[in-house]
Amino acid sequence: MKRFIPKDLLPIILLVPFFLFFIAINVFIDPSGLLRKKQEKQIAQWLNDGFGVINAINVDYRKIVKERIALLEKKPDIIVMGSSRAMIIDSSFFPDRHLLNCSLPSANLEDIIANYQVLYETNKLPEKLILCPDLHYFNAYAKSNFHLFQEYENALQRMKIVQNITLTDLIVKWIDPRYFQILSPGYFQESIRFFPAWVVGKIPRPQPIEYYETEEKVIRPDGSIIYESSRRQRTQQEIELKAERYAFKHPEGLVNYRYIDPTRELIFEKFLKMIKEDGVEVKIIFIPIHPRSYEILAQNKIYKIIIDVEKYMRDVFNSLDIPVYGSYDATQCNCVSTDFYDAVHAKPEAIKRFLSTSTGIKR
Amino acid sequence: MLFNSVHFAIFFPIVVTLYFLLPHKFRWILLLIASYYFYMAWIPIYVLLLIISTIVDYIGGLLLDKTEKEYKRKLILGVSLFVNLGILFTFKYYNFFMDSIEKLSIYLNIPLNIHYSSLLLPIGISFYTFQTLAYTIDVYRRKVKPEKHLGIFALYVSFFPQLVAGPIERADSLIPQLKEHHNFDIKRVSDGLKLMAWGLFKKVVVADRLGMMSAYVFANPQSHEGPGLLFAMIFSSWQIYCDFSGYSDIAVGSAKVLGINLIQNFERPYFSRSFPELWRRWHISLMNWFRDYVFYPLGGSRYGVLNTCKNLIIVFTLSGVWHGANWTYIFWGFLMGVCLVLSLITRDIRKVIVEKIGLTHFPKIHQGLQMLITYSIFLFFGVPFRAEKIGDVFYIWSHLLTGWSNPTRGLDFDDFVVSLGMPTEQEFNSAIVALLFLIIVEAFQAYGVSLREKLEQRNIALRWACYYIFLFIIAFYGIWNSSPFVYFQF
Repeated sequence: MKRFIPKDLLPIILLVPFFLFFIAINVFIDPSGLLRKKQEKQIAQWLNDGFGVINAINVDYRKIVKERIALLEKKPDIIVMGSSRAMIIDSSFFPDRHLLNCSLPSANLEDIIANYQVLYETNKLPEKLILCPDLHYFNAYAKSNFHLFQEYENALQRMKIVQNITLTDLIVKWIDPRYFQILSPGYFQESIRFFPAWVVGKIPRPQPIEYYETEEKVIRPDGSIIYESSRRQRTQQEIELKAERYAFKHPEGLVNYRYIDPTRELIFEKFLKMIKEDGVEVKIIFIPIHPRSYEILAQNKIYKIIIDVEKYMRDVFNSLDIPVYGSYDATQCNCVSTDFYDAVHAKPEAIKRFLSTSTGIKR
Repeated sequence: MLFNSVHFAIFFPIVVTLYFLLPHKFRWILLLIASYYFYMAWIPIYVLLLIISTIVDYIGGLLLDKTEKEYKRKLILGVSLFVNLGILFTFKYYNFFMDSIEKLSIYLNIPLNIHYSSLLLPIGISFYTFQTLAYTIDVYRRKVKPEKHLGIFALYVSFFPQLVAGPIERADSLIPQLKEHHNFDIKRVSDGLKLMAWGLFKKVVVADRLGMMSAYVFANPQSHEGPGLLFAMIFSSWQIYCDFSGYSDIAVGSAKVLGINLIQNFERPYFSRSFPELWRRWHISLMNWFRDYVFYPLGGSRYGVLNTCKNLIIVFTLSGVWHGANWTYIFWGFLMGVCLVLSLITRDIRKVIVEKIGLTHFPKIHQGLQMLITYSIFLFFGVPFRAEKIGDVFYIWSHLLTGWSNPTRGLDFDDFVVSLGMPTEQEFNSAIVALLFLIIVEAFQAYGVSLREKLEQRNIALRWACYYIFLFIIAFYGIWNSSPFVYFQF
């Protein structure tokens, strides 16, 4: 036996249990349900059945949206697409219309295009698409590999765009990047935090609810969300601190945003043309960011690019006769600090207010 | 690819396993592919720059070896310098240069139509450019023989552990090692892994935690007073040290696992007793580079004190330029040079003062004071390194003594640290504990006691229990959002 375990390899062999422990903790506790494949399908089913869902923490929204679209019995009148910033747009914005909010947390351009492609492939394209674009769409550094890869590729083919595929793209095409989280120390930290709850079998898992009066964050059947009470009840001081911190601490998606990426420009413009060719009416809502965050970013030598990004998008929309509402600059929308939950998430009342002063959005 | 990413955690074991399974003659191919993949994981197209540098210096080296006529040799060297420094200028300094011209033109009221570049700065460009320059200059000086094997030379330029943030290696040290056959030596592998773990601790547990506060305060110094500014300066100084020396440790450790020894880039610089000593212990490979290729050719410390002072200021100002395309870095480099000069010319006076006040009778106190003063000077004049604008530097310096009558600005301590950018007081406490642990370990090292070696003498159960606890601390208390290393931008 000794011959098969040379003394030389002992330190390596002794290291193995640590990594096994590390992986085992991630696999068994699995606080986000990465390995629970049917979780998203179940959530989609609850939502389509008219229930709200709580405890949907870190679930794969991309898959939920895809499942929901597949389960839809008829085309929605209106689809909303954007990031978490757009997830507060609910049916009350468009009374008497069938609205589905397909927004995703941290959505980037690839997500929007992939989800639109899901609608196209399942023949569920709506009459009207409300697009809430985000500032980071044209940042070459803000690439993510979590979008629906096949649908995105199909959309690029429809747009006749040939894109260079990197080795990482190829890997994530075959292995769902979520599974790499099993090796992630960040996920390990999350798993350890849930360890006591796991021991007593009380890890919060997604649950359907009928009434939305709860302290938890709720996904509603129309795809919109109601934030948890702790976020809704933040004091003004807390919100302003968050707004400053966001802008001063290298905002997510904006790091290294030195120029508007021409490849993304091309994809974005072709995408808009494709939507129009599909006969879908597009309207744009620029959801503002907190006035203090905007002020700081607009003065930063790198992040002031947000002004150019908005101008660029407006020019494109104008050239394609696509109506635009709102602005990233809160002052342009008459929004003040109290209209926000934090740096980037505006309250629904604020969006409703500035939309009510615009004509045409509800038509 | 970042050392603190899952990507690297998968990449590295695969490379190491294949490396030791492959016959020696194929290993360079594996390492070259791995190194290019490592670099291409960021923006693939920028690998072309690496290839251009490699080919230009490879051909340049061969031609220099064959050519005897001095003017031709100078011409070849000039072409190599022009191409390498041209690439560096285009990608790193062009916009800074244009921006400075534009500001000057506005000041002089001469309208100019300035064209800016939208090229991104390729990571590590200053590191590999300096490494290839060192090779060509050494071949020109006939200090090293040119490398005839293109593959090995390409690997020398791109060797992944030190590609994007050094240490800047010399050809006569690295190339022979890349050709050597390295057996799997468990002692060396295990030492390499321990160094990698220590580097990771410095980066994800200490540097990234300290960075929360320093990034926040330095982005907006005008909202803070003396106590907050001082906290941020201290945190920032340790953040930069832990970030970069952590990177170097991982680089040196991962090369060691493969059997290759890289230069040790840091030697506990904050325990230095004088400014010149600090700069002999900080970013050693870069300082050696400037010493050999700039300071000595300028005349070094020959030709009198004045000439030495001038050369030091030139070298350190250039080191500031190397660090970044911003006036803050140039100002920082210049100040470091001035401090060094002042340290040299006041050496005798300081000796006399120390003797007069009798500090020589208390050597431990004397050493402690020397360390404290050296660190304080580095801290104070290090502000431009971190500040975003020259205006911020003067704001910080001029406000360091404000607000001390009410240090927490009327806030509870937990609210005070939150107002400085820490998420919670607990996070602040963790930062302090981690920093103290690091300082204690380095203090032992400074007095010749290696805690790692002490631990290695213990029995296997205790030793491995400690290793497991340390790994658990890294995994659980690390900040794992894969924040880039500070020195990548250089």
